[in-house]
Amino acid sequence: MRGFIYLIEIAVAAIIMTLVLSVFLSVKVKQDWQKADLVEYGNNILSNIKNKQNYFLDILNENLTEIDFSKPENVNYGLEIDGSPKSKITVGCVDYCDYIQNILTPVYVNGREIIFTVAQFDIANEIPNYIDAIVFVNYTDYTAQKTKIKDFIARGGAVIGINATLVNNANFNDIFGLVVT
Amino acid sequence: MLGQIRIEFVFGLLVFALIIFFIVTQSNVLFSSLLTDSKIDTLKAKASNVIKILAEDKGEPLNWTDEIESGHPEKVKRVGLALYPYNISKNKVYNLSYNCSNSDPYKNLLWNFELKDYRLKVYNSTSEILFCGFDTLEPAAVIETRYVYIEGDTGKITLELW
Repeated sequence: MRGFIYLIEIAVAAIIMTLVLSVFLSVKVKQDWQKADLVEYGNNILSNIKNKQNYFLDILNENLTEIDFSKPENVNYGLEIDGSPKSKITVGCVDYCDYIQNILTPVYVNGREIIFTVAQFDIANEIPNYIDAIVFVNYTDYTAQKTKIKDFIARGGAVIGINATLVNNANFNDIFGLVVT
Repeated sequence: MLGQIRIEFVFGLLVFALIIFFIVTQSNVLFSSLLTDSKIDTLKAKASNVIKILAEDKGEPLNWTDEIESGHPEKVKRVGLALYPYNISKNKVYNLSYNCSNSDPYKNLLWNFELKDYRLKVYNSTSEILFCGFDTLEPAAVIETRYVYIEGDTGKITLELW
């Protein structure tokens, strides 16, 4: 019986030592250069953007060649532009499209030329995603399309209504935030 | 009984010996791994600093290529290839390529970076335009790359250390 107790003690001691050693041996120097490398590639990209004349215009025109050149192929990136209009704005129309095309001549904003492309669409269907803004001319059926128009505004679209007075149309007033006084 | 060795004693001794053996072997593995990691960390930091200076700094003095061309390379305190950050000078690359001898420390403008085993290369959009260091098959422990403009052309600088 006494010998058996010794064996248990040895086994318990061996298990405890193995556990302690496994913790001790799991200590490693952490080589965490990945984040530092990514920061450096980010600086490299920003410096190259700054070096290339008019490169911000290329980015706005979705020409990302220089960014792709300034990083290794296995590094991915995301790009988001805030507060600057697109260089090509697609304007949707339901009717009077020629009239709208004549109004929307190219403009210059902060030295950038912005051009408009007018595309007709059928509002009975969904409003296409490629449309950035909609211009309604003498449109009267706001009541039927109110939900679609408000959804379009909610996802960042712009809506312009050119109408004779529709002060009595509650949906028109609701869409454009008008209050009858 | 006197003269007899108890089986528990033998077993205990055996386990103890095994544990000691395990500790010694694993400690060697651990410490050699720590040394390797430490060396790579040091090389990586060094490569990062050197390539940053080459890509972003104009050098000291700013017109250090003039000192080379006038026969006073000893007056060059620090080599930098930049005209401005990440836009490097062809003339500086050209001067460095002819003054980075491994055999003659007086003709090695990279001496003050204290690089031991290294390969420094500069490429333009089509070919390699500078090679300094040791042209061996030794695999690099760390490689640093910066993407630059070379007076309007695209290019890159790579530094390998081992």
